Amino acid sequence: MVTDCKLIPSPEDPVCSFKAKTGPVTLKVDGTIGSVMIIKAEYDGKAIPNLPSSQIQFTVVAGRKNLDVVYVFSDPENGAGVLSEVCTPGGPLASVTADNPMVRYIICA
Amino acid sequence: MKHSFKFFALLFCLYGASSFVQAQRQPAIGEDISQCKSRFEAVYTSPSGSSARLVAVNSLLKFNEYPACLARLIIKSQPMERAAFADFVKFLEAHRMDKQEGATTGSGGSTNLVSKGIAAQILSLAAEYGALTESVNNQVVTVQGSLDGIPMALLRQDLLQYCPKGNPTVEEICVHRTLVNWLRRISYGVSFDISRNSQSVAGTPTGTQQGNTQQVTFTPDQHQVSSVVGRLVLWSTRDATSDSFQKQWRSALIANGAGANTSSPSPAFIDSAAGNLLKAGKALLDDVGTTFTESQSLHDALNAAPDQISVDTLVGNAISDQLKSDAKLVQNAGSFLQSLDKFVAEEDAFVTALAEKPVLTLEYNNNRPVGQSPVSTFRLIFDKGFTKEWSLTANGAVAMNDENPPATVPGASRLRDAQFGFQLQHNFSSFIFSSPAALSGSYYFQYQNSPAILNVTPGTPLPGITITGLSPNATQIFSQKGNLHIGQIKLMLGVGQSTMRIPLAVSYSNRTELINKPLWRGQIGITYDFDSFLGGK
Repeated sequence: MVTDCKLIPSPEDPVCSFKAKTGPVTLKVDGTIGSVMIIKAEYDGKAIPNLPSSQIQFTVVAGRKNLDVVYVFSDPENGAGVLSEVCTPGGPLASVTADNPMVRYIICA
Repeated sequence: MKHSFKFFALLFCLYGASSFVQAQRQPAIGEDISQCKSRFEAVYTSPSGSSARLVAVNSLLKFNEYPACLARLIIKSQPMERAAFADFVKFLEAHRMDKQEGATTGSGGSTNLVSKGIAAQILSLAAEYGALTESVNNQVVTVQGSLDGIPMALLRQDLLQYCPKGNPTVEEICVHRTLVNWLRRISYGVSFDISRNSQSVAGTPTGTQQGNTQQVTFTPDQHQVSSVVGRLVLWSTRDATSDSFQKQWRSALIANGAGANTSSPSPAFIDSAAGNLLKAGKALLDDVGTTFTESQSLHDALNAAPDQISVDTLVGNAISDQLKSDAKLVQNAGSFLQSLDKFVAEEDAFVTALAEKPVLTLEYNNNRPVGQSPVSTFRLIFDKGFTKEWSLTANGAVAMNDENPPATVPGASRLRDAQFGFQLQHNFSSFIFSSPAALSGSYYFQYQNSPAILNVTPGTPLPGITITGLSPNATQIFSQKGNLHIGQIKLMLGVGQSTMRIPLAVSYSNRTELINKPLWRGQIGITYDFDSFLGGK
């Protein structure tokens, strides 16, 4: 069942990567150069299970929390991809590149 | 003339001055560090004070979203000490090749499988750090690896840095991706026959017999190393882009050990490196916190910065100020970059293991069978997969006796035999109990140019061979030569999610090297890959 989107990129905010509504969220990563998967992830310090995968699920809680992610690339030199939320209407949240495989997104709900 | 000299001198000085100026220009951060490029360039190219500049500055200061850039900026501000090289020297000293730990074989209560000579020391070190695979086939233990295992093992112990693009950012010993790929082409193996672990001794009378006593000179006859192999991949194919490869990559990563088929690499190292990268990244970003993102003064200054130099200076000063107040920052940045390099190295190794398939390989094998002179075999191996499931291997070889056989053996020569063989293999992603498996059929032909010659010590039997009616003075015996034809069916079973493999085989031959009679044989063995046991730190 595809849900309404909860995460919105916030480029105008100096701290938050995304503004969010609380509740369950599914994120996915798609490779644009080679394949990309999420191999490690933690939300608010808790490990997200069932990895490696191209999708992760977690529940956004109120406050400013960290989503720490390590991506793995089938093209370690030039690999790239796009992180997006599985929702309607959807849309890209952030780009990912092989030279920067570890990322911390600050989610503000 | 004097004026011409002054003119040229002035021109020279102007040229020198411009060169000096060019030499002194520091590259922009965006040019110098690739991980920083896009965000810095967005600030450089947006007009100061504009809304585009505001967004670009917000993005620039969110170093949590691109910590690789932040770590390199920190290290660039304060280079790390050459701790890695010092640690490397200590590592070598601690593992000097003339040392032996534990009891030697043959001593009562020894737990060592083989005596620790130099070769075994290197191999055991390599095995300890995951650079080798070990297999046990019947009573032969084989350890093998490729030369890239050595830099990879040192990398995993933080003794080397990996620089995929050949540009180390810190002053450390660095291994390049291309070098690792070349070293991967060279592999080696040593086989130990553990059924021969007791040293046999032969005695030869020397001197004059005195009454009932006789002086004897003892000579050892130890052949624990049954063969040594070296291989060089002459030609390999690489597919790291096709849809088929992408699918195989995803399957191998998720399968956590068994992979889609018996030849998939284990993701244990890459998984461990990812865990370490996450840990190091969190430590760095927790340390930095919101220092940059919540600094209104820094935001304001960057929003108003008129040019690239001003932007770089503001960022550089902000990092320097942070370094002055936080002693751990350099260490955290260094640890993060080390973890990052190791992770990229494991990504590369994982991809190469899947993507590169040797097609033509040259192999040298020095075989040291019991009771026979060593034989050197030069083999050319062709190996090609035609679909995901089917592959064909063919090889031709020439075997040479290392020593000239005695002239008394009729038909004997240095050229021992010529061989040809081929194998057709089918891979199953799921077989019994859902484990991967492979079924293969092989044919082997050997043209014996020289008969098999056995060295016999009078009074000392050869292991596994009983000879009756032999003259007590005989020191060499030889068999009747003939051509060998051998057919084999082999099933290689995977075991659950582990990297253990069990080969089961049945073979039929018209004769062996010694016995001129048809023979049925069964073989069973176990192979396991240390990679899955030694999943990094």
